Amino acid sequence: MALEVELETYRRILPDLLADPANVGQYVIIRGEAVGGVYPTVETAAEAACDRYGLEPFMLKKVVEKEEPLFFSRNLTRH
Amino acid sequence: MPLLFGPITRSGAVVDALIGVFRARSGLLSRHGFPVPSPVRVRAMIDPGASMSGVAPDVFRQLELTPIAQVPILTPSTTAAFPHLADEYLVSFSVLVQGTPHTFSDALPVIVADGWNEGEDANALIGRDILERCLFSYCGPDARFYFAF
Repeated sequence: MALEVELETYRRILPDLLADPANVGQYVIIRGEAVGGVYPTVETAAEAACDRYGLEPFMLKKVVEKEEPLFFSRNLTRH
Repeated sequence: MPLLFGPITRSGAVVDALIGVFRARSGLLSRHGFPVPSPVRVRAMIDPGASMSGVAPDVFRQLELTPIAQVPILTPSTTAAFPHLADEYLVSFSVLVQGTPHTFSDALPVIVADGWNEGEDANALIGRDILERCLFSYCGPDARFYFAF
């Protein structure tokens, strides 16, 4: 699975991120087990991720206490 | 504000759009002398029933993009306890108005969506993440729609 390590890192650091209310609703970038920072918008987080990680894959995720499922009107069969 | 008129077809309200590499990555590719994959033209169905936009998987392959996250998604065949985990990608998204691209976002998260039926005139879906910044009018009796963003 892609981003398996990053997902595990996100789950591990989420309580620390949520401890600072300023982080909630912002965007965190992660590569491997390292957190690259928290940014106010998708665009600024993407810029920072490309500056920091170059062309390597990274995770970019909104910091929320509980991630609610989204709705999609088609069946999805692959990740 | 670009304004688009279109016919309501068997596939619904469908617009031409360009999906491209998100701006930060395309800038990085250019600075390092690598070619930037050309934007991919898609037919995007406007669907207020979807909370997030989705694009066919081959588009991401053409753009040489990798996922940025996974997001839980409820579809007609999932249950609330077991949502589908969909790969999420970052793209640039432009809508073609009379052949001219108008950029909606330089960095838009979208999910990979492969639920397209054979013969369907769509390989992407515009959900409420985009519609929340647009005007969309579906005029059934006239079989026309209006889309402004």
